[in-house]
Amino acid sequence: MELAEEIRINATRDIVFAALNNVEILKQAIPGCEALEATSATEFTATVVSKIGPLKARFTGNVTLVDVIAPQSYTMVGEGKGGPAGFAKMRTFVHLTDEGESTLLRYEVKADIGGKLAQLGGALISSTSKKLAGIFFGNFEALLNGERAIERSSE
Amino acid sequence: MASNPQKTNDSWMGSRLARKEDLRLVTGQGKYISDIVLPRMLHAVFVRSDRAHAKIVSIDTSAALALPGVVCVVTGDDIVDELRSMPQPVLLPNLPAKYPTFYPLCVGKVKFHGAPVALVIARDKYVAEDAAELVEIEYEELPVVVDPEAALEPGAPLINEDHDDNEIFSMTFTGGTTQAEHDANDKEVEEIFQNADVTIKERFRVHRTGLTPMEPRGVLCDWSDSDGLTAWITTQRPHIDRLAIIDLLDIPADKVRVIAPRDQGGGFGVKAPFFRENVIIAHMARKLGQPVRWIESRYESLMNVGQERDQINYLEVAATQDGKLLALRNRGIADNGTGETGVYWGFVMPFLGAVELPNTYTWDKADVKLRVAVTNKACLTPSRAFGHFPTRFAIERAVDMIAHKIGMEPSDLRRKNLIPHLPYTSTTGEYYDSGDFVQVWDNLMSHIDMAKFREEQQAARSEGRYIGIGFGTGVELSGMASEVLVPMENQPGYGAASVRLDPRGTALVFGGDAPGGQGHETSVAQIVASAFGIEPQDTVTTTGDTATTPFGSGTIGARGASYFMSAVHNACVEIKVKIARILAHDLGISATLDDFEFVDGQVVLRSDRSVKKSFRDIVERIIMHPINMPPGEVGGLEATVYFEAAKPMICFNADFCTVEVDIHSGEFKITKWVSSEDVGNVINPLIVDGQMHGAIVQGLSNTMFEEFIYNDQGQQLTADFENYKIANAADMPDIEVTYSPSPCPHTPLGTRGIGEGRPSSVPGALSNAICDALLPFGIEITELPLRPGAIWKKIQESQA
Amino acid sequence: MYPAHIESYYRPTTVAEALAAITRQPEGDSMFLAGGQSLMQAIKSRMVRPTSIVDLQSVAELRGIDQANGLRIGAMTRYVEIAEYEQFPAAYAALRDAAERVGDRQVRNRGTIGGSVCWNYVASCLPSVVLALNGTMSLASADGSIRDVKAKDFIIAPLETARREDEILLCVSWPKPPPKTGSAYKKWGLVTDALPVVGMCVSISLDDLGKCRTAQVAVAGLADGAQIADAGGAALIGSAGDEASISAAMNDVADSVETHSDHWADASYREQLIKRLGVEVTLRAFARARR
Repeated sequence: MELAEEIRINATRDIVFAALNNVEILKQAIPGCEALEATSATEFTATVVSKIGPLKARFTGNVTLVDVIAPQSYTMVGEGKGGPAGFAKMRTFVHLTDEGESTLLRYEVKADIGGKLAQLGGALISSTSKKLAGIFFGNFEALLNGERAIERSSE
Repeated sequence: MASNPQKTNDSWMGSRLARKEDLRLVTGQGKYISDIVLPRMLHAVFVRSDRAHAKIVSIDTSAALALPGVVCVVTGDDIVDELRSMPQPVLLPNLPAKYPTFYPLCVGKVKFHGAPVALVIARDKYVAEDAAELVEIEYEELPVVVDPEAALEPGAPLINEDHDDNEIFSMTFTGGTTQAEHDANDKEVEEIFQNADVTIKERFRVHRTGLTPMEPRGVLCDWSDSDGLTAWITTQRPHIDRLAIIDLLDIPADKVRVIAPRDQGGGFGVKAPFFRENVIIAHMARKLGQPVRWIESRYESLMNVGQERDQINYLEVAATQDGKLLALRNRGIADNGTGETGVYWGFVMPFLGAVELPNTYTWDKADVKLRVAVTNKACLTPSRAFGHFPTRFAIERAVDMIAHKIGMEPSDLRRKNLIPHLPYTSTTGEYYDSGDFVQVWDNLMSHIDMAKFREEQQAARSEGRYIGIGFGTGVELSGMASEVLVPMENQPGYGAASVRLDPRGTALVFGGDAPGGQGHETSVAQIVASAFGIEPQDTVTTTGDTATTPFGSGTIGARGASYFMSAVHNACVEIKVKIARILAHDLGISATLDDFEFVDGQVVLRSDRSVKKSFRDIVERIIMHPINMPPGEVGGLEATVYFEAAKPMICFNADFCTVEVDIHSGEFKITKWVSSEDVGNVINPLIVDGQMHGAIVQGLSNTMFEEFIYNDQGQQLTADFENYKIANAADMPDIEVTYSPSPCPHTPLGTRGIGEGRPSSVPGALSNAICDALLPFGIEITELPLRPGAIWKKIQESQA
Repeated sequence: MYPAHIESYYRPTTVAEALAAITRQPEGDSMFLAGGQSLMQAIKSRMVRPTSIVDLQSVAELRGIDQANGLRIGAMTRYVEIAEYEQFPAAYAALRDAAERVGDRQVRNRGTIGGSVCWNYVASCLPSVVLALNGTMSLASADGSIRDVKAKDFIIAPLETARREDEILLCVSWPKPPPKTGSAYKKWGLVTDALPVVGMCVSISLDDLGKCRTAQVAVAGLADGAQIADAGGAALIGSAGDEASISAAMNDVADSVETHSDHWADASYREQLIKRLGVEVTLRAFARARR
């Protein structure tokens, strides 16, 4: 599954990049995130509960930041196991462009879903992924502005 | 014995008798494997891989084991030293191939999404499934190979690591046996192509499709130290399964009994291989000393079995300007999956598909080669039209393409090239024993007025409506003689039956092949009733129990009416000879079987019909009161006959269908489907009609709807019926089945086995009809499935 | 496949009892069971794991089609009951078009309109129909309150609706329709009565000159689930019901929505289906409106 979008964030690029590496902010921004811990500067373990309506899967896994070019871009590589529901692998390229007081953020996600989740159907997965990405960046921007995350869960 | 109003002509042969099985099957009285419950029975659930290709790094069974009610959790490493691995000789074809070594549970790595990694055994089937979820497996992923051509590229990731590439099998089918002979043949074929008036060259692709039996698989094993192993298996071939279990688990032969449950919800080939699950369930029953049962879920079934076809055929055909087919050249590539099932290993299907490529037409020469690739998918399992659904599609499409190129009616071109006289040996060495293809074809053509249809087609076009007609033919297996089955599957092709009369005149029939709902019980009863002049209800048939039935290779390849029932008939004749001899002696006359008629429960002297004895009386006399017998004669009435036909046998069918295509949506409606069949003499037309309908519907469903899909990561996406779509009755046309029989000269009743290959002419006939309808757009269909969206797209592209 | 452990099963006979039962467990652990045609699949495949089930099949208050005050369809009304109901006004005829083609005979005998709209599967018929017809969902809570939610606010995303887990859908209702209003629905799936690859629902109201006064178009089967296509409704206003103007409107619908490719059809074929089905359905809606 592939997803690519551009969004404009009302903060300078340095702030945005720092926030993208900030465990506390990420933990609150990721929909359904129950735990996020840094095991090194670029490695994290995570537990995320993803919901599509009544369907729920708890993923435990890790995320690693690679190809870090501060404050311009990095790639997040992650893998999560959802128990009997299946697993997900993700590679997300994030690129920031300085626009003065704002930042243009472009993300490109390539995800592979496996197991029972893959058998739910591509349409359900991709529409949910888009929705989750949207929630994440909505939360992210709110947190940057000192506000609480708008949507804590992925419901 | 009450008389049945459905009898025709003093014989039950040819009678549309309602099936004996049906009352119990439709009133919930059938006895399937899941109806068998044993005391202390344990329940097994497999933990299956969710990766397509990966090393198994670790398996943590602790959480599963901790669940109350769980008896054990077994992994590949646990059993590696406890039983033998595959391959084993009894499950190997006599064909050169790179057979993978494998155990019932994966050892070291997994090779497809759905592979069995661990086995949970618990006291309760719900707990077993709960525990299976708790087994944690750590994988290290390996590169996935899902394209058969990519799998054959040098340097492709290796799937079966005990071999050096992913080519499990390859063969040249034409021109001889040595490389020199092949090369010479190839050159001659090339010369024909160089000089031919017209040639076509196309890539034909048929998707992964096959079948879904109504009842998935199951295995129930019971072990006691005194009696050994009793294994109930949903299988078409219990006798073969028994040999495999003996060899793989090293159990003495006198201690293994395999029983195919009396009722099975369909086989069609899916229950013909020897599966891993059989081995591990038997092994664990022995180890635990308690019965262990595994019932496959639909999800597991769709993940693991029923997947067939999946071939690419690069086909070339050469012909003369006036429509004489000269030569064909084919490069087949088959997508085998892993190859880890016994008997077939996946590749035996495309092997036969290549053999059957020449079909019903005469060819001066052919160059047919096949390569079969291992991929990270479930292993192919047989689905009738075994291996040749894709090659039939290719050849029937190619014939139409030639016809169009030279401006000849496709039906005329077919008739011109149909094999005119049988017996005939095809260019791939397949022997066609008997039949009159032209007669069957002419019968088909008597159901359509081609000139009138072409007029209607022309008129419709001028109104913006598009109708078309398409043809397909198929020469199909009628059983498989030993001279074919021994090389192909290392198994004998004879049919064997025991018939035993009891003192009250009931006939007990025993056969080793296990049916899956084809109506064998009824057909057998009709044969026996006809032979002895009794009623069908006076026959009881037992099948599929290795302890009580003679050896049979299984219900495969249309062996029923060809081999098994011939054996039944011949066994009846043997008994009749003895009855006639003793009766003649009792009557004090000189007479043999030919002098008597067995009819209406009586044995009647033909020359003086007042001289007769009731069948029941003579039978009782011979079994219960064997005194005053002819010299040297002993009591009892029982015969076991092994029937081998003189030559491998075939049956033949030709189809046409008409369609109307909506060019704005690509949707098409089949407006007529007519088939013409030579299935020899028919025992029960009701059953045969049903077989034909079912086969054509399966062919249509495969062609239009059913598709097993793996994504580029090897994830299988079609593991439920929401995604693997099967035809509805509402989607199917009315099917008119007509018969044009030539009795088979090699079977005692002139019968032919039916049903195995029947779906194969369907994709060609349907595709040809659609192409015919869309001729103004120049559409050529070379790929299945046939979907409205794809047809619409082709129309759009042609108009661009 | 067997469900994960289920602790309790309730079969209430009143709405009040049903609401008391659902709140007995922590949120998310208890689920209402309507026809079970979607939920049981999810439970058996363990995609959902309720520890408690509140089976609504004996709650008589939830059954029945009533036209005393507009149209009211109880949430537990089965598809077959809707399919066989002959007194729908032309304005709401699309309900019958959809209900008589869901799944198969067995599904229609068990499945319900309430279950369908509350499950809101990504590819399903009834949600798109209630959207196009602008139905009202009445949701009851254990505290006795009832809130009404318009379909367009109720249907949020695939498998997501505005219903809270402790609310029960009582009914879907509509006012008495304005005169000269008609609706229709049709879908295309790979086999007869399959889940919609594309489904089109159109509702048309005519003015005194027989021209379209108001219209609503909804699409089923898109990746984002059942949704209203505003462009279609807008484009149909003023149409006299001729194929040319309808065609143009359906082209606008196809352009305004995002279609996806999957193993049933690719995106461009879905657009073609939107156009073809849309025209057919709109013509039928016009014809019904004129009667």
